[in-house]
Amino acid sequence: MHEQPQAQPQRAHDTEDDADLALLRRTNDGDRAAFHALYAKFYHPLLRFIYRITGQLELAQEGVNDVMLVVWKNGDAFGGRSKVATWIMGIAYHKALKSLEKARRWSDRVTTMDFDNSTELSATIPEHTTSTDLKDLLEHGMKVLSAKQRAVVELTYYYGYSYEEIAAIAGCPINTVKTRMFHARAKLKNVLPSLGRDELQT
Amino acid sequence: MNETIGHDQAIELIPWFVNGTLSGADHELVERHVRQCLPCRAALQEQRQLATLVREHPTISLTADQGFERLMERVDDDVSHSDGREVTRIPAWSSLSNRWALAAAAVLVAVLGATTWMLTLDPGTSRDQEFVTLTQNLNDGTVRLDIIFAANVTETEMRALVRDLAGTIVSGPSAAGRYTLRLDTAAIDASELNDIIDRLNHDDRVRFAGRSFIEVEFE
Repeated sequence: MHEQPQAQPQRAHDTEDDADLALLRRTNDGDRAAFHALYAKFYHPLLRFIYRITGQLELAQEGVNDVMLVVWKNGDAFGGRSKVATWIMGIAYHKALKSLEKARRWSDRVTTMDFDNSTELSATIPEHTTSTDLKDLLEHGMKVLSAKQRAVVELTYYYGYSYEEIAAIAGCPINTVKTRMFHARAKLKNVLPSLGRDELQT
Repeated sequence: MNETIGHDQAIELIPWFVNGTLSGADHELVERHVRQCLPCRAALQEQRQLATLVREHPTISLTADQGFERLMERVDDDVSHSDGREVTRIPAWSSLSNRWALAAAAVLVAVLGATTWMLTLDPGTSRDQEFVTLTQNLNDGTVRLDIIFAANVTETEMRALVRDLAGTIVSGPSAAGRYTLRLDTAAIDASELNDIIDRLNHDDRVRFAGRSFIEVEFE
């Protein structure tokens, strides 16, 4: 197998990454217009990603700004060993997990919070569901996954990252990425038993 | 190429075969294996469908502009507070909590002189001496905390924290940025209150939290 444990993804020539790097460098010089452009570009990807991890829109909205504040203040810490996008998503990943952990700490103590949108509502998977809408089932399935498993699925299928890039984002070994995906697939298979059987009716 | 890949390795790599990010060599190995392995072909179809579902999952439709405005307010707030007007950033949170805890303890020992004093509140006699018991709620059955939020905390975060505590801000901010919060939960004993205060003091959103002391006024 051609595998490099804990390898950093190579920063190959990439037009989009070059553009991001140019914006980041201008941001580091205090160019607010460049920062605005970078913010606009990453806003929705970050919002979706953090929302997917935390399950709470309010946390996701604030999380985006927390991440981009780090980019504004510490852009010169970007070492160029990965793509700019990978670096930013890595910041988002850790901020989102931290944010989720804080929210959980408070929910353990105070029962007044409304956690309808919180993640991992149930560790058990219902045998039957009245909804045949695959997208609803996916939504339910994603909630059954752990935050880290959700992140791997999103990063793979929505954002299209390689497992090396995901390992860099999550700050974990490549085998950990594969293990999380393995378990996520198994859990989602339980919730989406029709996966793989017929053509999807979406 | 005569190299082959094991079934377990192949099935593990299928998600990245699906999203097209496997290296050329690995892609070829997986592709060759899948052609010969029925379970892997089934897994491939599953993951292709899952990928479609995930990609088609609706995104949140919010605009970036408002978010950017809020962010730049935070940036400008940081800049204005670093010009020497007021130090709002506390680099060593644990050292601050220790300083506050020691200061609060010293005040208690000096002013109260003992571990318990009964509180009597008579709204009609506003100039009475007032003391706070360390272990009991106020006569009106509520508990009050003093909180100073961290400099970079947004209003949304403040409201979320107050809501999490099932509390209501009853006064503040003072000149030092202190808010007094009334906890609207059922009777809390001292141990629970200490837990709440401890959690607050370990929360990045909070610079300081402690029991609220009613100001003492003497005739």
